[in-house]
Amino acid sequence: MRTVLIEMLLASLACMFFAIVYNTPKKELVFCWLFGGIGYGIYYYLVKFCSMGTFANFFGAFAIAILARFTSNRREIPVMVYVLPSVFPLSPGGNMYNACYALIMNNLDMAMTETMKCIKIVGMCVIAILIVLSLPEGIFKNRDKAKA
Amino acid sequence: MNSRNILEFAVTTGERMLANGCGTHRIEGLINKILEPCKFRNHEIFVTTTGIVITVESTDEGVITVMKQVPKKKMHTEHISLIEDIVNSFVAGELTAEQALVELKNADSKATYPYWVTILAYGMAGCFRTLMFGGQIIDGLVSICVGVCMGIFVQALNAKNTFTFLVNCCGGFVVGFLAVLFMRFGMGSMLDKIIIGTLMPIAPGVPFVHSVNDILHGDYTSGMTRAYEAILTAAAISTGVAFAMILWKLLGGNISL
Repeated sequence: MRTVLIEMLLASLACMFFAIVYNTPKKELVFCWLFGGIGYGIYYYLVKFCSMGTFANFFGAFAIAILARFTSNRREIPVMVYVLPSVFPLSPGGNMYNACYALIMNNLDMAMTETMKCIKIVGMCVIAILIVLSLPEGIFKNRDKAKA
Repeated sequence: MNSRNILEFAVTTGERMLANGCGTHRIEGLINKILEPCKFRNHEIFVTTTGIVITVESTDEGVITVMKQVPKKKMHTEHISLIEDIVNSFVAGELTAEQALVELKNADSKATYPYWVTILAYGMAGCFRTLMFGGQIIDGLVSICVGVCMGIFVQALNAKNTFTFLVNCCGGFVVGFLAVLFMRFGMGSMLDKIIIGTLMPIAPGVPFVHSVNDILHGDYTSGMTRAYEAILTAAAISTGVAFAMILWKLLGGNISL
């Protein structure tokens, strides 16, 4: 459990600095920090303790997207401002680099495995985000009014 | 209302949104929102990742078409939310098309973070990714130094409007070269962890997510363009790193990666 918390902290800080690279508004940085940590925490917990494979990415991205949807409705800012930096630890940038590097170094087996892994991860993340984004607006609006 | 001004405003909005890295279906929705209350007889919008075409048919001025090309892109989410605010106040009738256009140009010159914060962010994001990949603390520290150097390099080249492939290639080269240099002086324990962690801020993980998002939305043209862009970026980065490794081998020494 302690490793999960440490990983969450590292992931959330990585997200926050990545959000600065993407020029996120200063007031929204806290949310990117929080959502990035939560999303990666869920992913890491599922991989470590439930021995889940790529499907863990689905739940991580799902949580991020739902949280982002709520906040974007409350603060009236586009959803993607929160989703893109927060999904950074789950996105397969490293796999993509590994695949290309293996291809250049003529290590074709590794190139193929990494490419496939990359496509699987991206597919899972995007499907989760799309499911949440296509939910009707009403679900998020009502809860918002009840809170306010 | 002058339809020419409204059209100018709409196309500039689209251009700014696209240049700041927004998805195409979102831009189409936004331009629709601008043009809908203006009572044109007909309007048609076509947005791809590299350009925008808008055609408007009004009763007194006939058919007008405006086209704009957007060659260079970067991610800037604050500009996106600012532009959405301007569009919302235009739709609510608080701004005329001319005022909105001026506001749009003002919003563009607004910088969110000072230069050194952005540079530091490259380093810190790389550092925490290195730690997440399982590096030691010393790897993280090396990663900050290398990441800051890479940030300075990438920003400087981007400001000079260099060819994108070359920018990423140089970024990869700088990271590979400096990481090996630090290892030579006995700093850092795992070379591959340092390199991959530091490269994460420019590695195309998030753009790839964006592109598949577009494809699943039904925007095959822009989705494929973005996907090719992402693949090309990854290829450029790894080419740069490979160059650095080859150079170090030529300079003498055995690197095992």
